[in-house]
Amino acid sequence: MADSTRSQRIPGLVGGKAISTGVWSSLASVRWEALVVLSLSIIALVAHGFNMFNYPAYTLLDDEGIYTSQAWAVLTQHTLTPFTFVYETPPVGWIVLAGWMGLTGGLHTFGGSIDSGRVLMLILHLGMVPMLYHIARKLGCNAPAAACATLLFSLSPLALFYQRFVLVDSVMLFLALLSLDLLLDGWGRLSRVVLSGICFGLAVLCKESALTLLPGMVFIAVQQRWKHQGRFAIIGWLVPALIVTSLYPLYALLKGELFPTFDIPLGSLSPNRVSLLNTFFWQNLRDGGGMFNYNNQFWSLVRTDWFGRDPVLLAGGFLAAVVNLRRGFGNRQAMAIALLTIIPLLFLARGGNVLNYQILLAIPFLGLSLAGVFSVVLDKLPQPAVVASTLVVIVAIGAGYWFSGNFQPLFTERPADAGREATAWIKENINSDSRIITRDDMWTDLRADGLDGPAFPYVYTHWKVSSDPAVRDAIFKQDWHNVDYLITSPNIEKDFIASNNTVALEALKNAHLVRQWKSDPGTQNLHPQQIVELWKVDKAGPTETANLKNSANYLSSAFDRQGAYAGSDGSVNAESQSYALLRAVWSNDRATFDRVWAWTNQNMRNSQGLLHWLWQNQTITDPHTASEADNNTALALLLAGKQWNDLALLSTGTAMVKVIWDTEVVTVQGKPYEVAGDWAAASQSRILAINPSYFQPYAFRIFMQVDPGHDWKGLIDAGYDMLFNASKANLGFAQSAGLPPDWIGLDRDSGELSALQLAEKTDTTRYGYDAPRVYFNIALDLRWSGDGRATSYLNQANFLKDEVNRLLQDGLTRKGLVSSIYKHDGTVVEELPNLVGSAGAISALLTLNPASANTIYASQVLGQTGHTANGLYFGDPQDLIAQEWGWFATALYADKLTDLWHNPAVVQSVKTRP
Amino acid sequence: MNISEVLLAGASLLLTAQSAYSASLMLYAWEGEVQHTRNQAPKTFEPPGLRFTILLPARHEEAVIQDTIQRVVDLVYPQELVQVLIVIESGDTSTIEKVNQKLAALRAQGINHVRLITFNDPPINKPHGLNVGLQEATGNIVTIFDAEDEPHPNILNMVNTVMTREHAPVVQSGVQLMNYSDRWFSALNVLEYFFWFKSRMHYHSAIGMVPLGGNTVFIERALLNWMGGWDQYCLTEDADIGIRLSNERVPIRIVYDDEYVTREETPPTVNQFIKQRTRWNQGFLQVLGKGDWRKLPGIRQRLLALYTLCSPLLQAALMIYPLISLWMLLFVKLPTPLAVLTMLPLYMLVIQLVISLVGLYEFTAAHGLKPSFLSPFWLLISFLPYQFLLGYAALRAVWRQLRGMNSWEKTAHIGAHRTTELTKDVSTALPPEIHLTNSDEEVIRG
Repeated sequence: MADSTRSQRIPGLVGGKAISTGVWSSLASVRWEALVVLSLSIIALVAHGFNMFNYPAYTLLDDEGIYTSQAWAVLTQHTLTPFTFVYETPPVGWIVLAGWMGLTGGLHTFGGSIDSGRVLMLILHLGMVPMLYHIARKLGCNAPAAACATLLFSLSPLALFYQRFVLVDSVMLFLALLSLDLLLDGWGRLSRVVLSGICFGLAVLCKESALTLLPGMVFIAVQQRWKHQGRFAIIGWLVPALIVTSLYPLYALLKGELFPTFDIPLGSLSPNRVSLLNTFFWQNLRDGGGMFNYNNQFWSLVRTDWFGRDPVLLAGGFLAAVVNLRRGFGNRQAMAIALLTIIPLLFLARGGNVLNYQILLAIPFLGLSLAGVFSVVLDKLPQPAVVASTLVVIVAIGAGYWFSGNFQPLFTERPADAGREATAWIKENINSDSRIITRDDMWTDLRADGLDGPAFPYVYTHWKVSSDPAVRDAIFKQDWHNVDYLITSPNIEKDFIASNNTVALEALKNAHLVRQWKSDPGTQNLHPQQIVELWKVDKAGPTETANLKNSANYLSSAFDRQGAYAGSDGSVNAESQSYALLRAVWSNDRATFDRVWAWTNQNMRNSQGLLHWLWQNQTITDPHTASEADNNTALALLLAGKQWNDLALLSTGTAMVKVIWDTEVVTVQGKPYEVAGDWAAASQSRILAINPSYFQPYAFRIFMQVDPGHDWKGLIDAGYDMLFNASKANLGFAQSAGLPPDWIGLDRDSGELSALQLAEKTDTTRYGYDAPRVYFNIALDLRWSGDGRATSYLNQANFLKDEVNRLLQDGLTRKGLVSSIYKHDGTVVEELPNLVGSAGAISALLTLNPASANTIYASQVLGQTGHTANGLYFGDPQDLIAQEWGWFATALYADKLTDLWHNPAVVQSVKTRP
Repeated sequence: MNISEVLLAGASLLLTAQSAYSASLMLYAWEGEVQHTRNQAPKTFEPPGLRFTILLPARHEEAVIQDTIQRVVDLVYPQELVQVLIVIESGDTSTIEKVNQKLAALRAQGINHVRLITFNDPPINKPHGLNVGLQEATGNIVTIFDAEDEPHPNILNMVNTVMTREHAPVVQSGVQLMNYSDRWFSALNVLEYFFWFKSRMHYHSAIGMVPLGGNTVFIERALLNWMGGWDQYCLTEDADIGIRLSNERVPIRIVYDDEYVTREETPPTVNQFIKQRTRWNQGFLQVLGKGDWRKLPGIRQRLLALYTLCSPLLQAALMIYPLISLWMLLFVKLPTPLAVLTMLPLYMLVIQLVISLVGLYEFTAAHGLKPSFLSPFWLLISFLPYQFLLGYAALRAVWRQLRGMNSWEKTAHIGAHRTTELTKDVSTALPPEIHLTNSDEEVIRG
């Protein structure tokens, strides 16, 4: 026959010998090798799978997040990427990932979306174990050597570290090994050759670096042709591979994105159009110093990362590949192994842009090279020595891994915790309408619905903000004010600067840390400690609006009993009732207002119309009044009457105002002062009890209008004087820190201020649970009236500013908050902050030093939020006062405390919105 | 996705799948060593034992019939074990005359195993002629040669050997068009035969559903009688009997040894090519309509039969598809993934082209031919027009079949006379209906 002399298979590469006398021919040895492969698979399952969700951290590598996000886009948006596809990587890898997620019931079947991807990586790895074993066997290695190659592939700390990451490189490797396994079919079936070609094409469509395996594959395809395949042998591999690969440029061509586009004048590359060839050349022609430059990225990774993790596999594998190359001139199997190992290594070492995980490409072949050489050594040993030598080698390498310390962290450390906790907290506590610039790794879980939280439709990775015009220009409009939050890690500014991300940089400059999550430091040279930070840009946004609403909901459900806001002991005080009324007015919540007022009106008003202080067990237990509660209640009635056009409320409020003057205002030396309550006014003592935090000039300015018969203006003037003086006075201390005291005594006769003695209070001069409200009151007065005294009073709060910025003992960290109780001289009494204190500090510092105010707001208000099904709470969910002041602090920060008396129209329009 | 996009995507996937399947059938012979050796004829012959009856249906073959008879007589096999029956409709007097001349000459040489049989009852077509011949047959094995066939001299020895050694009741030996460089479409036509007989038939045999070829098919006479002979009303009686044999689970042995193929020639003109194809396609559709394939033993056989018999419909769809996809691509803004999908059938066309190109060299090498360096380029140029011809013939067949569906009787009639339009390889045995006066008849003779 004409072709009888052509295309004889070269003996030595899967020859008839392997078929007739090889391992698979005898059932007994099939069982034996099948057991070996099964054991290897179990070892791989444990080594790869154990602790794989925790180590390495998914916050370590952007690419995991990028591929996961693209899989999400395929799955839910039916696009290749969530944003513009720029041909950085061909898409098959993450299409496979999307298919996996689709088949397993979504992104979060195994935890986070990256966890789901890691399960897929485990499965791919388990698939590669028998394939690698078969390939080694078919390329001439004996069984012990093939088993060693597979063990290295599954146990090397270098391999384990990078193989656990969700990377398309692993999908590519799976397909490449499958292609190789099919090509080395052993029976020369043409269909296997064609499938092999298809798999190789798909591998290239996962990652172009698969092309570095092409010379080895073609070499095998040529050596591997059988007579019966005729002229279809090599073509049967090449054409399918080529056709599948060409789908990628075809896609680009059909999209009009294959060729670079040129601007006029010709010659300058247009930056705003993506093109496959453009990206390809940009990726591959970047200069990196050349192969023999010791400082190129390859050699630097060898020095700092790869070699340290596993010198045996890296250096040993390379040396073995060189030996195989030398052997290859007489042995085609050795040549195939050498080509498959050396060309990928040369590609990595070429001096271009190399990333640490790209070593994945070489790992199975490094093991294969070692096995090739080991097999030759074993073949020279007498039979009994083979098993012993194999065991010795395995134990020696295993011991090396163990004693180097590179091995254990893979199974014990949990650096992924930081990112996991951060995602959970953000999902729970940040409003989902916020515009967030994030790291790649957290993008998908935030963007997607699930993990007990909503989808965040406006979350963008910082790379996209810097480079994608559809995000940078259309969404952020190149303005940091359009950012609400940044999710960062400590060194991220470098990336912002490198990518010229002005939006993110400016936003970060104008942002404050809400929370920080840190993993345990662990073995730092193998895995850096993970720190994730949430920064809030210094402006109120959708989070504040939502938090106010959710906080009010929580307050209602946790504390409201038919209109009574009861503390944990069941008692109801006038102050909480008045706060509830104000919250309802400002929230435009008429139903709550009516309910609270109805209860208060029925149960707490005294004969004159003011509020008794305390109600418990169906009865009034403290009949006195507190003037702050009365002020607030009257103010709430007036604002409500104005806002809802209710004359009855207006007249009740007006009546109350008059009673307040009659029963709670005392004139001293011709100046009217509002004392702490009717009990203080009625007291026979020479010293009048005044609570500076009951001084609410913004309310008095409205009282002035409904009660023109009384000198409210004089009361405001006297109150401001009292405030300045009380803060300045030493009150028995060597000096004053400038803070207002909780209480102050006013001499009826002389008008002098002094420390007040109260029966139940030990030190009334301290800045404790009352005084911070002074700043809140003055800040609100400044907003409503613009009174210059308000500005100058707030500007005296330097003590608070210094507290926030005070360096702690480590000399690096700043305190970042204000403690809850100080003596009048500034000594800390209670170190831990509370929400009243934080609200006061924010009120003061928003004028004096906004950065400090933002710091406190971010970490002490926003950072203290928690969620339940009934809404949002601040700090201790049982603490009514914390909830009240969390709400007021947020509302003041977000500027939601409108002067409805003078500007009711604003709210009217709000009211008409759906 | 709107409905038209879904349809387009579905059509693309379907066509791609069918092309891939079709390509895999074309390459089946190259799949493995088993397939490779199975194709080969035996290297040694058993002593002659089986008695053969060779049916030679002819119609208006006065030009070639004497040569054909001589070639059959020259077959290397003991004459006492061979019976040759030339079957001709009695109205075809000129061919009858030539045959009688030849028979007289043979008898003068003492050769007596060749006989002429005539018949005059309708339908006047090849299967009827075969059935007439079958009634007179005396051999254990009945086979068919067409008037222009060049069977290999040792074909009977080879078949005797295979049937004896393997106890095979049915053997189909390869038929191969040879004149690959005569006409622009010849090479591709030749390759179709090459891939069909060398490769695809084996797949059919392995599955157990074989549409047999029109000649060089050897069947036990008892089996044929039991089957009731050929279907006289079928345009492709060969495919029909193959399916009916498969229904009875009769194993069918395929031998395509490049040496033993029966050599034939491509139709001389495009017109005749199209008419031949139209008949084949219509015949397949007819067999599909008859529904015998539904009685095939297993689901695999039934599916393969359905796929094979539907191929005219697929071919017709393949003809329409590029027009639709091109129109959608140009005038409808398709989502890019869908656009890629619509390209897949075209990719498969490229694969078919590559297979054909490689096949050309496999074919020429197998038959010791030296292709000119221009041959591959001709193949490249003619590839698309040839697909167009196939598509056109398929559309034509579908259209005609639909038109003729009004009444079975009429179709049968039309079927009978339509055979007169056919090309010479098989249709030559079939006389024209009296009332058919169009010029087609002349064309057929070639």
